[in-house]
Amino acid sequence: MKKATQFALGILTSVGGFFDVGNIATTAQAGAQFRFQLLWALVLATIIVILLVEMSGRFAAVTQKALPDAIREHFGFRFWSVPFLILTIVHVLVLAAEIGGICFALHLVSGLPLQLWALPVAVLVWLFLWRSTFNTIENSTSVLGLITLCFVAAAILHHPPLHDVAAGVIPTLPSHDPEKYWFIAVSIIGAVIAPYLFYFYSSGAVEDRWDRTYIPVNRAVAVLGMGFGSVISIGALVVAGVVLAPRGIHVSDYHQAALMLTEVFPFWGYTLFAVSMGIACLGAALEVALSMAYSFAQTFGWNWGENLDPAEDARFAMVYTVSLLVAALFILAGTDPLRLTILTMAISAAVLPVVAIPMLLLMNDRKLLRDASNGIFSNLATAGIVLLTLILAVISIPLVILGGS
Amino acid sequence: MHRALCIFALALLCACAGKSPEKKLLNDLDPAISWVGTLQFAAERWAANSVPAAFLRNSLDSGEQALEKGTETVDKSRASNDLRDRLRDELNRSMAAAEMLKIAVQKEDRAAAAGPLRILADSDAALRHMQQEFEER
Repeated sequence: MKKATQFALGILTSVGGFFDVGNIATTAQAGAQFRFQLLWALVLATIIVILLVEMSGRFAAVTQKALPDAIREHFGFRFWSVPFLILTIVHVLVLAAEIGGICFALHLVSGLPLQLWALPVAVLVWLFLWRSTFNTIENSTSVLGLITLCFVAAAILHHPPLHDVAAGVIPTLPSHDPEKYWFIAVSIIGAVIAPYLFYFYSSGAVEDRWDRTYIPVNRAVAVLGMGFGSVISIGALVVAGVVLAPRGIHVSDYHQAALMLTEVFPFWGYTLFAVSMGIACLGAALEVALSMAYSFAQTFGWNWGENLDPAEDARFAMVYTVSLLVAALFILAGTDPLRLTILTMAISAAVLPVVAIPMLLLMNDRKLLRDASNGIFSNLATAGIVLLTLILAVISIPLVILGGS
Repeated sequence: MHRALCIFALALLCACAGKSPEKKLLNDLDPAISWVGTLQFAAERWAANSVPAAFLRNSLDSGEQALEKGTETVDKSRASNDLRDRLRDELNRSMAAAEMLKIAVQKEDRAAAAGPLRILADSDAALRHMQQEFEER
């Protein structure tokens, strides 16, 4: 029964880590500007993230260690300090983007200015983390996150041309605006293969006390959980392609994305978008804040665990407290949440090699993982992932300049 | 590998550098043109009671900012006077329609949205026609 309920970890990770503000922004932009032509980027990123999440979970199940802990132990603090610093910066930026997403959802519902919600949202997320256990967070956001299926329902109800949708899964060259096309492709990949996702997943597996017997569960969770998130993202991209693209609406502001569901759900569409965005970003904010606290605690050898009372892991609690405040300040200062999100996704893509390669190296350590270490297929896939991440890192910076305007 | 990546980045730069002033202007105006379509859609949805008045008001504010920025871009451009005049006209018409919509929202008069909606639809069509015209050249 416990193993069956572990799918909740996968769904949480997918709702929070997959379908979050980065995905909402990038799929809306992709669908609005290029219809279904960028579906291949989403599919490719999904395959890669399934592999990375599976490896991360397998590692935690076999070693009962989370990734930051293990990387620091294995390669030394000096080696880990660079990925750790980069991961921290990315964590803060992503957390700010997620808080911005929740604020925007509340702005849609209330009509009140977005900045007004920054501190209350930070306090709300903090209260969740302070008062809840890992299981409560896991289960509540899993259930609430099911509302994002409205994007899938909307995509089906729009009756998109299936041939064109299917054709979008095959990579093609852009028919127009090549710099924007490749920038959005990189951003989609950066949004999906978010570094905090597999770092959080490994810590979550340790929190849930996974052992070797969870390896098959881990595989199912990785595929089903990430697959679930991917289906929702595909739904969002298709809806944007059908609703926004014919009107020439290119998403440079979240208000434009908020109209996506209003055609097929005339009465509920606006509210559904706001609630979906709010819940998806809440799940992600919880995940990112926890991921940041996990990585700090594991790097410096502090007590850690969402299931512990804050008094027992005060420094762990302090990290998520301070990070929420810092992230909220971005939104309070008037940073445009969509621009912040898109820039953060491109940065995530750029730093992927630095944060992913240490994990990939560990997966080949047969002393640590014995028979659970990477086989030939996993290593070939790993080599492909490393190559792609290196390419992304090099091209994302000029694309930010050329395509991100 | 390093050489291939440099060539790729250079190709992207050249793709941008090779545009005529007219194409560059229409490219730079993409956000403003997109907002004309957005305001039309948002107003339609408000008239159909699908979105609240506050949302349309906020969209009109963001849209007007984008349109104003668009006219500044037109003024600074080195594109032909003919194109600039046509673009300026459509952007100004769209801004006037946005003002009419603000009054309609203030009065909660959904029927009054019909007029500005027609203006926005015409401007949107005209602007997208211009984009296509220069894309094909």
